[in-house]
Amino acid sequence: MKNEPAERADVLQGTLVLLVLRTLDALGPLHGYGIARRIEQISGDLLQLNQGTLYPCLLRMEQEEWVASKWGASEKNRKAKFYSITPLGRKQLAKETQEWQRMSSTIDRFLGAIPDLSAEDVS
Amino acid sequence: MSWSSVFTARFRGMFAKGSRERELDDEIRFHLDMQAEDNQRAGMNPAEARLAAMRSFGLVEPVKENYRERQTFALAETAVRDMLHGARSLRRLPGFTIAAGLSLALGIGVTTAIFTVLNAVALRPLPYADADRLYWMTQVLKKSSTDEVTLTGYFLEWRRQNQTFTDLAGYNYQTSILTGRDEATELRTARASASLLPLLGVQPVLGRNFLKREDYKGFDRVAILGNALWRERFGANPKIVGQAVTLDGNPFTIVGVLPPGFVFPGSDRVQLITPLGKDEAAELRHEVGSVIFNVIGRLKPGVTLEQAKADLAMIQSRLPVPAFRPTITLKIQPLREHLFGDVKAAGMILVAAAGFVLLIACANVSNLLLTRWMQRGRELALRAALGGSRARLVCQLLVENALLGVLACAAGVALAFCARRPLVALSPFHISGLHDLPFDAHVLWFAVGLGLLSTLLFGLLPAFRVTKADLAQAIKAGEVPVVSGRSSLGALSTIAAAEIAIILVLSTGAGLMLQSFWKMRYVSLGFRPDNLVVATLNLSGSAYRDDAPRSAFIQELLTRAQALPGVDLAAITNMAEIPPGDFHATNTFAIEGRNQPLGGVRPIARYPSVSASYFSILGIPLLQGRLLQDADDAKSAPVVVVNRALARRYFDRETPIGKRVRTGGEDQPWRTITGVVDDVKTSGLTSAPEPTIYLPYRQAGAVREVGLVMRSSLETGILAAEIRKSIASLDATQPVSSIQAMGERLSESVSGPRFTTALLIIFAGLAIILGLIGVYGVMGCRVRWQLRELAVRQALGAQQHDVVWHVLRQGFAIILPGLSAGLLCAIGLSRLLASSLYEVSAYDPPTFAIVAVTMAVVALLACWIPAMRAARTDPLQLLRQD
Repeated sequence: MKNEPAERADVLQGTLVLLVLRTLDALGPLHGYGIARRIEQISGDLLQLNQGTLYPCLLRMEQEEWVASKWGASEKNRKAKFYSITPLGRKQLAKETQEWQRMSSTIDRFLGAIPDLSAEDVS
Repeated sequence: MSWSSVFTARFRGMFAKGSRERELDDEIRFHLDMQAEDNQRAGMNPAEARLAAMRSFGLVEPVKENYRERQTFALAETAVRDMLHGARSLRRLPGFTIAAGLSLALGIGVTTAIFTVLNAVALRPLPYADADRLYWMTQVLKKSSTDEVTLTGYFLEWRRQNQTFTDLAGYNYQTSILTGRDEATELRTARASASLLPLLGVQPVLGRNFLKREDYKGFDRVAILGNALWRERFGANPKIVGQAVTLDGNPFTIVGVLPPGFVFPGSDRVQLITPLGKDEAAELRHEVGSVIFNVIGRLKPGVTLEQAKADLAMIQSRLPVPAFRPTITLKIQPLREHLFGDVKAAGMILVAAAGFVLLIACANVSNLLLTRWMQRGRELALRAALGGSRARLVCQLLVENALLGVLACAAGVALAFCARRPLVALSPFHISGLHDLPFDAHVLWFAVGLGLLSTLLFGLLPAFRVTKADLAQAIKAGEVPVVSGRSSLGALSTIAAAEIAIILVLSTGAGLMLQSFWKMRYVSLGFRPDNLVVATLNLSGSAYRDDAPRSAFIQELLTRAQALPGVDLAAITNMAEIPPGDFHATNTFAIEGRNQPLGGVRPIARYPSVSASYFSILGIPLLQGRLLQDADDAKSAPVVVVNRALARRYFDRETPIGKRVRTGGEDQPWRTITGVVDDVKTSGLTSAPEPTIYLPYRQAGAVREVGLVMRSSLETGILAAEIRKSIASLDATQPVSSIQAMGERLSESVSGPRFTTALLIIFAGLAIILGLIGVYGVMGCRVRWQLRELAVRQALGAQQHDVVWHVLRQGFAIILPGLSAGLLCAIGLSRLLASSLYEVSAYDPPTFAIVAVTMAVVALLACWIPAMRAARTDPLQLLRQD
């Protein structure tokens, strides 16, 4: 049972990085909870998963130097750790976006190709 | 690039764990608080809000685990932690640690030490340029004889006509007497072609190599000094080139000095080289028939051995065959094999034997660990319950042992390092190029590999066994995990049986080698070696060039030796004839009345010159006719005595007495056979005796290389001093080559097999001791586990001997399978030993039987002692202890 959630998060782990980088790029420095809420809002029910998996992911991104962290004060003046995207992170964002677009357009083409085939058959 | 930053981050993470942990706690708490607030604002009450927040976050602990693992090098840290734990438990049980560590270190050390020999011989490159292209070759000239020499005429034609070698070179060993500086010394020298040094890729460090024109008879009075000789006898004089030395009474000019690392490609330590100096024109016309004992060639690039063989064979077929030697075959082998072939075979046997000892040591440690860990069953079951997978647990246990393995490996490496010098000094492996055993990367990798393998071997089985614990059973309070105990006992017994099998294999091997060595050295020598002392000298000085002064010297020497106090009898013969003898000494002879068909095989024999007392001093029995006498001298009829081998081969159904033979050329007289004596091993201790014709030295002409045999009960050292004095009084400039007791001489000639056999016996002994300790330990453990059951049996009426028998029966269950498996393996493996055995079959039944029975008896004894102890414990006490 302890393995399941980790597996589902792993599947999304690749895209989680992309989502976090995009969020930070668009919205500026955020703390962990903030990132989770924003991603939830934007992606609808995709993140019914555990929000906890965000933190190891953030650690990894910090180790790869795609984000930088700093302790600061939240809106309610509570101590929180804020994450911001780095230039390396922006590069990584561009790379992953490109890859994602390439993959999705390939699949789109494949899905789009089938009606074409059936159209040819008829004619 | 990205992983370097990850690496650095993780590295830094190792040092800030506490603060990171707190930070993460803060972050998570913040997250949960914020989520709970949002939930409240959405309408839930505080408790519900909190619960919902936690649910949407997910389990906190796994997240923290994950985080922690990513932060540092989790695996490495765990490994280090496990190792420290292992270190602590090792320190807690010093007895176990020392016993296990020592036996492992011994096993690893010994195996590595022998591997250094194998490495030096088989793996390290020879000290010549591109040595793998160098080949040693010889003709094999006669049937049924080990005469491996090359006729010079053939060698010259090979060199001229071959297409497959870049060059050929020949060399012969010699002994020469150096005079003119301090006292006369005997040097081991070689006559070598001018092409030898370039062939080997060696340049003299002073002066030059021989010129081509110096390689001809008459122009060859030049010499190149070996580096050691230059330092020792000539004071490392840098102006030595151009000076003269006197060898065998002749002046030679020094033209060069060899480099310090140079080793002559053979088993003799050559101190000085002179040119081969053959009369090439005469050789090619077959007017002279001198021989070369060693020919070396370098294969052209891209040429294979097969092509070279075919090439030389073709050249040979085009050459005229000398009338007296119709069967000529060729033998070519890589130079490395020629130099080290025997050592390699012995080395592999010994490495295998040492490896077996290491296996047994590992098995013992494995047993010890199993026994200790059987107590830990409950702890390990708990660990499994708390989430450790089996693989994880096994790894953990292995790492705990890794420390022991590392320590043992380090100690073993140290042992091997220190053992190198004694190994070279004590062993017969001090052949050229093997004067030091290098400790290079190969050896280190081998030792590390052994260490790893041993750790795995002794660690895996107990680790697997012990982590198999059934959870429910193990945690039952108050209950010793009997289930895992029982199956562990099975594992213990299997290991003990395996140890017995290994011991059997090793002991059988040792037994076979011992028999072989015994037969070589002590059996069917054909003579009595006790109380004999042998002195050899080389009458090569200019004073002894003619026959007359030589005869006079020998006669006088014989008289004086006989007159020495303490000497019963003395005799003279060729140096090559004195056992163990020399196998290059046969030659053809003619039997009167037998017309040799052209192309037929001529009779061959050795024909040494001996003094009359030779037969009685060696104790060679007379079979027919009479022995040689002092009366058989230059004035009486020429007579000879032959041996049984000759009589059997050439005079099969008739008696040889009265027949006449002629040794040497047509100018020699026909000599009458007057007696037949029994055979003596004079072609080395491992060859059959060859046909021999004994000529009286007074009739045959005096020998140059003289062997003096004396029978005396005096100690060799004292006698040696006396003989040296006598010889010095006859001729002060004549050095003595050697003085040795006959027994020592014989043993030296088989020092290789002797060393191998001695080591094998030591290894077998070690294995037996270790293995018996192992069996004893296993039986003791079994008995301890069954004490209560045995006590119950005794209470129910079993007698002491019933208890003993019960335990012994279990012992049989270990010993019998072990012996059977061992016998099967031994039969299978002894085939590999067959090439090293002399006159002993690799499946010799008595050896196998004796070893098996002895092992069974000794193993039973090891079982009997715990059995007796079990029978003696008071059953009531035991039952009360429950």
